[in-house]
Amino acid sequence: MRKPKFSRGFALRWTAAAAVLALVIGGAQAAGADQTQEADGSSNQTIVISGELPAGVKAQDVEVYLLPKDKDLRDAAVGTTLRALPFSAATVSMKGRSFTVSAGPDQAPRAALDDQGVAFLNVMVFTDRGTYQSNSSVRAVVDHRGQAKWVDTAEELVRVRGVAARQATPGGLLLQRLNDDTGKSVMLTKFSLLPGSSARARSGDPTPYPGCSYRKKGERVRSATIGTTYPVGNDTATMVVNSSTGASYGVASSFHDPGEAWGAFKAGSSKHTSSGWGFQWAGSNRGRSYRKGVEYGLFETWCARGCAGCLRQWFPTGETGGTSANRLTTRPNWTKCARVARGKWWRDKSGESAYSYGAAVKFASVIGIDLSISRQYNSSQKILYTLRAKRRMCGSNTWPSNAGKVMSRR
Amino acid sequence: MRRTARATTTGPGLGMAQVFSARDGGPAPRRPPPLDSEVCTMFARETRSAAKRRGALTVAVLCVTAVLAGCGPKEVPTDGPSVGAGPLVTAFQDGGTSVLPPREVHGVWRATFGSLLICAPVQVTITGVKPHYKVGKPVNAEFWVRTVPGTQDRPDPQGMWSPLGSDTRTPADLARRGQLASKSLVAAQGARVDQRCDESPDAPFTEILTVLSADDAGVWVDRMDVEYEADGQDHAMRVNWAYVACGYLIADPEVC
Repeated sequence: MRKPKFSRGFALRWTAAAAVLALVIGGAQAAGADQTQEADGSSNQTIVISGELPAGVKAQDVEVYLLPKDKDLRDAAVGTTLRALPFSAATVSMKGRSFTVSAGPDQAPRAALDDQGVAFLNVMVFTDRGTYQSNSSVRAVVDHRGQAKWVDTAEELVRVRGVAARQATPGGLLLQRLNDDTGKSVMLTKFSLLPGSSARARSGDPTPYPGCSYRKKGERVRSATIGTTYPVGNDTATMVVNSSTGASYGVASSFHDPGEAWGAFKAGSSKHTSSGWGFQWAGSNRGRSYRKGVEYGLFETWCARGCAGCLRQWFPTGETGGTSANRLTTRPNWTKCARVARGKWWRDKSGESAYSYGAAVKFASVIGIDLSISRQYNSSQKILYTLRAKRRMCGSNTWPSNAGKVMSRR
Repeated sequence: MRRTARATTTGPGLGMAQVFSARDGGPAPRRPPPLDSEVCTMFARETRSAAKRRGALTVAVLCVTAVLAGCGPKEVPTDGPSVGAGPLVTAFQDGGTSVLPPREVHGVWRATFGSLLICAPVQVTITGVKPHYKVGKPVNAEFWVRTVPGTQDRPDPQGMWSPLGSDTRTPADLARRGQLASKSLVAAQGARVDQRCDESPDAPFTEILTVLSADDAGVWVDRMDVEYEADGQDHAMRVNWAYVACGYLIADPEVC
């Protein structure tokens, strides 16, 4: 079965939309596998980031940073500055307009990995035409051979009695085990990014940290829709979250342009935030959307060069554990249906058709746009229909056993 | 006319489905029931009015071929091929379907489950279906392969061509009542599946149907391995969709 593909690309600068910088993250089998690093003999599954700058743009430096852990982002008071963690072990190779960055999980700063091995990468490409930037969440795991590797945050992990199975790597990381009995290196997602900012330092600006840092400018709690159900007649439906493993939520970005004004926030990439809470909504015969609270922080990026407060981004920093449900007054008219008998019908995991909703995080009142959510169903997070008569289960985009959203019909 | 995929399945006809007994602690071969071309007959009856339509003759030939080619069920090996690396795939995600026994039925009853759509870039031959019983054991378990032509090739566009979710009737019953239209419906054991993967909404599809005969204890299948041969190699595909015939052994309120 194919793995889900998530586009993490986003435009950060709107001045040269045609100039696309391809950024590819892959396992050791990726095109850049020759860049593989083996720092301590245990880390041969490296992240490979490669890109090509637009014509006429000359790269001066490529730097990879890691955002501090979500807990640090949440705990930071508004107004404080958090240092970006340099991924100094990353090896950067440049050839003409192309560059490649390689580094394994064992080489990552420990402070950047949360307790589920998730890190948020921030790639800065400094050029003679400004600074380009992109970011992505990745998860460090250990495979069946005991080797640490980076995978997509949506990859399936081994669980034993509902608890993540963990294993120490030779490099000393205690990581979750990848559920990949074929032993293949898992390819990470591919994404692209657009040119970044060339914001100039202003008088009175504080001297930033060497490298880059993030200044916290604000925080908000927003709600995100994580699922919908549409029962019919006296049937009921519910959603059960026994232990939320988190989800990837949209990141909103705004650049400070040369005209000294902040551009409008735009949605683009996503960031994974982990959690561990549970909730079961009471069954209802009404159409509902299920929502959970998500904490967001507004952070301004500062770099010693190339980005003096050039970028503001709303990052998800955690799930609050708060939940709600909204009644849906209209029913969709999905027609990919399968007849079912009296009983129950549930979905609790999805590969390709994970729930994905482009406007799930309600942010419009703050920044004018809503943000996306992309989440995997998993064994402890499911939707459940109780069917009291013969029905049809219908999928939103394909047959219900595989669809992203489902409804029941008479 | 554009055909988006080929869907051809041949094998033993209806009545020669893979039939297992759980009395010995696991699926074991039972004496097969008599040959029965009921579904083919049903299909022919259904399509009689549209006999002049293209495809009906083909279907009839397929059905006859299927019946004539019938062979006995084959024992499922106890240690099959490793799961996961072969060409056969399914879009089936994780989840489950449970069925309550019909109110008017007491004793053994049957629950039919479908929606297990399969496809592969090459022709494969199903060599066995291995359910994993989490709770209870069925009196019998049968497995069928149903092929459905693409939208443009269906003799009766208003027929019941959709995948089957679940039902308390057997595929033969459903076909007889005109509630399950198929191009072919054959026993899974030995069925040759020539179904390319095509996600377009009008594409033909091939579906594995599972029929559990349960008593009042109930049966909970929490996964199945579909074993098959492709290019001379044995493979298995795991399906993590639960099939549940509800009974007193299954007390989980999220299941029954």
